[in-house]
Amino acid sequence: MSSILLVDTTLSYPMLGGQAQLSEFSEGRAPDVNRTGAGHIMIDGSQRTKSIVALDRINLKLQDGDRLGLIGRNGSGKSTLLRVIAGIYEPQSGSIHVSGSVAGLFSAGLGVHPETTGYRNIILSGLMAGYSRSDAKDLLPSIAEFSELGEYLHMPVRTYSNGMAMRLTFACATAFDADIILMDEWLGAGDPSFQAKAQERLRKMVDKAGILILASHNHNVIKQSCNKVAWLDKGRLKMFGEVEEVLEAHDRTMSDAF
Amino acid sequence: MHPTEYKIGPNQFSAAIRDIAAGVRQWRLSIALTSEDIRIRFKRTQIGILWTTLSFMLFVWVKVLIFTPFVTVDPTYFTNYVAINYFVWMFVSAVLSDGCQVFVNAERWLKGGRFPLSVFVNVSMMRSTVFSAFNFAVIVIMFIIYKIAVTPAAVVSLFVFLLLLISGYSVHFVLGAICARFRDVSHLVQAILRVMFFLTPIFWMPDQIGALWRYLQFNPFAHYLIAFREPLLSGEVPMLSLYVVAGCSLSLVFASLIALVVARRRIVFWL
Repeated sequence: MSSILLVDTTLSYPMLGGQAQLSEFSEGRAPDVNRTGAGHIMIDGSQRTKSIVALDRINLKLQDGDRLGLIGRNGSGKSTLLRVIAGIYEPQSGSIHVSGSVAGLFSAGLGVHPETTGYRNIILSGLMAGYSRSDAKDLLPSIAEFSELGEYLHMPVRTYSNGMAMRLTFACATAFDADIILMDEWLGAGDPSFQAKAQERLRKMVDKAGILILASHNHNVIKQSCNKVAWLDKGRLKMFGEVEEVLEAHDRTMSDAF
Repeated sequence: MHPTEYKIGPNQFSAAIRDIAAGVRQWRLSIALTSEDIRIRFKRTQIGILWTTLSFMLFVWVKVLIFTPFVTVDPTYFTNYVAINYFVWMFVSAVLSDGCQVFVNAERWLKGGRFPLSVFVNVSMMRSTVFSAFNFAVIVIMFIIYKIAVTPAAVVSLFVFLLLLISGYSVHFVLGAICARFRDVSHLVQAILRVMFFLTPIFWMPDQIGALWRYLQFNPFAHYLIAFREPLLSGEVPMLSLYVVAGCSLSLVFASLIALVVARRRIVFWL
């Protein structure tokens, strides 16, 4: 049983060391961000630290079987929402309750050491995903077979070609099943022949999971994989509902704007 | 796969305790990361981690060579004196400088997934402890060569090393959090360490410097050194130093809890 519950979740990023002087802009004022989908910049009372409101009182409830697509413009809070659910950023106010193991596929390649062999990297990814060493070892043959790396698995990753390293990363990221899968754009890897295999593997992993949250600008991908859509705008949840309904409303607003 | 569950609520104290407990639970990951870390440091070397032992020996030898003419004590005693002091100092300075970088260096991890902060502290502490063990080999060899009898008081040294571990673990959270937010501090710590190397009785003896020791004895590092060294080398238990070390350790434990309560969830935003 997996579930996600966000109540009035609010998150802002402090801007440290990013004190841009207004005089740096030619007209003496920063370009207006209010016309874009990005969160507001807040300046606290002492005027010393600025912060960006990335999520503004988000309420969300998801349970087993939910396949949520996240849409919205750049900076509207999609990636932040994924990272909040992954437990990376803790909100400043509001609460969040996640039950089930989480796999954040947006950080594929995390902890891949170039100086270490492919095999040891696979074990490390397993340990990171919360598997025991022996459970991770049990998955070695299937990862080896899938990644088509063969003898290369005994060599340091720095000797791999870019494509080989990507295959290893993809194989590791999709090897360890999770109850909740978070993706920032649908994942892909490798040349066309590997691509098909990769898609089949990712699809299997997603189908096994209880909850999928997929942030994407590609509405076709969302139509294929999701049964619900959340539309984020300036860090607020503008609309939540059935796929067709939200995508239509979104497209209408977008065409009105031009 | 064990199911995970987390609630993010307002109680920062229980969240701090949960962070430490989760780090302990993920000991396998900590060990794997430590061994990877050490492997990478000595990649493609012939003698690997023995380089720590070698450079430790070389340093002690040179210090003894230069400073023996200035001391009135037995040269054998002085050699052991310098070796043990430098052993403790190496650990203290490694812990302090690694502590500053512990969260900054873990940026990719902390921004990539939900990891307890304490995992990275564990990795850093394990690494320093492994290096220390290789340095300690030199002391063991010297004790055998010079036929120095170890009295039961040496158990106190073991206890002091335990306090060193507790202090080091705690100071990681304090310095790690401060240095993540205020990047100047890690440079300050480096500067202080360089000065303290000379102000701490490592290669000189307190009675050599006369009245100056009245002030230098307020240096807590000196007491960590004395409390570890004396039971091992002369079989005596320096109670004052032991109290100072215990007091420092306890204060650091409190400070680390405060650091975790205040900064734990903010650190990732500071990276």
